[in-house]
Amino acid sequence: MPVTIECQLLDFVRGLKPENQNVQADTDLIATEGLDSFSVLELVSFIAERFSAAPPIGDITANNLRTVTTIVRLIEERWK
Amino acid sequence: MEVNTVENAPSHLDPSVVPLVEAPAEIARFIRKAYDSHDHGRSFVPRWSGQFLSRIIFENPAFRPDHALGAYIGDRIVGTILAQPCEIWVHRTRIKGAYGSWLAVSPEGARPFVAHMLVNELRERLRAAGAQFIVGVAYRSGAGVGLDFWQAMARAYPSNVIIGPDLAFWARVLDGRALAKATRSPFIRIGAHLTRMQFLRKPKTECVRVYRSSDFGDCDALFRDVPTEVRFAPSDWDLTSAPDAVTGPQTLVFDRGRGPEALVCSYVLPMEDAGPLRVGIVEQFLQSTEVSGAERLLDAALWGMKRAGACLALLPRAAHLSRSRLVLRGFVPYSETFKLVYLPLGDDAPDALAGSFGLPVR
Repeated sequence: MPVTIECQLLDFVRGLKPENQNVQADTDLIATEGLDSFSVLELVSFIAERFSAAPPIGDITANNLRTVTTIVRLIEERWK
Repeated sequence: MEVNTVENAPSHLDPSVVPLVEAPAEIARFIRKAYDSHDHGRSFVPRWSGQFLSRIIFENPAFRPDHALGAYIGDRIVGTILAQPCEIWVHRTRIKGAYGSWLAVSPEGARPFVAHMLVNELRERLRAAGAQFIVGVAYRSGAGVGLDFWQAMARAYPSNVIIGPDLAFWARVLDGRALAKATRSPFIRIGAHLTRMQFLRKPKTECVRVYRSSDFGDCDALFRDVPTEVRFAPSDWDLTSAPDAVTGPQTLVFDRGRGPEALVCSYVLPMEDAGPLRVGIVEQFLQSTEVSGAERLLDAALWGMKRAGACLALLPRAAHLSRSRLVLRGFVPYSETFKLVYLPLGDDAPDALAGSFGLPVR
């Protein structure tokens, strides 16, 4: 069974720091501080390498990065 | 109806990035506080006073509101990014751009995206205004928006953000006693060189005078002929001295009656995190190839900086500045290294900054 984008992103976000172990697809990553300035950039690099997607700098906003679900949607609809 | 004030704003509200409305002194205070909170008072970076910021940014004739942006949550400022309009020579082509500086985010307003939003908004606004590039200097600071941030940006956006060559300095002690008092400063690392310190004597000043607008053509030619691929292309305003060295850059020229054959630009900034310490920055020291005796111009600048309270002078290392000449004048290599950060915006901008460059440090 192929590993979904969501699963790969969840694995990546959970691996960013110990506090992210319980992150789910709909966890608010901004309110829970699951992402910081550097991990956002690591996430962008990961998305580019793993999914051949290119999130523009202007798309790095709280609304776009709020949950893994929103990120998956953007990868599929806009960034690929 | 619920109104998003500072008090009840959701913690995840996206800030808005718009031109700064605060007075220069207030902006300088915000930046100082933001950097102090990240670096815990150990930052190497000299701080801009409100006066200096006003001179460098707001009084520049090419300034437009797009050059000074703030991130606001409600009406509370949580971040800044500043840019000074400037032009550079790339080989023989003159292009417009900006020096970016003081990307600062307060810890209270920190969000993972505030710095990105500020950078992106500045890029978009300056590109729309015709700027071809943004260049800045980054230093490995404790946290926040120092070199680590820019390196991560360059990994994420390799065609938008480029980490350029190293920017290293020569240092010249002007006042050993004042420097020794600055025990909290990284400058203390220069202590090993104090034994080689030369006492700074009042220099001879024949043929040395302040730049005036009628010198522009000769001075412009000096910049054009700097033997680097990328170099500063100043305006008359850039070369016109501020009222004093702590308010803004001063330009002295060496003129034996045939017009300027050499020039030096310098200013003095406080290191507010390092006790009563002021540092002088020699931005540029240029001379035509055939001139001799222009070292007295550098001596005059050092003397002026000392009189303005600087206890140490820094001069960016450049290939066209002879190492032996500088060592003879009491300069020693300084160990701290900065990086140039380069953001190409337009078609005329080079893809990357060349290995040889001569740009002022701001």
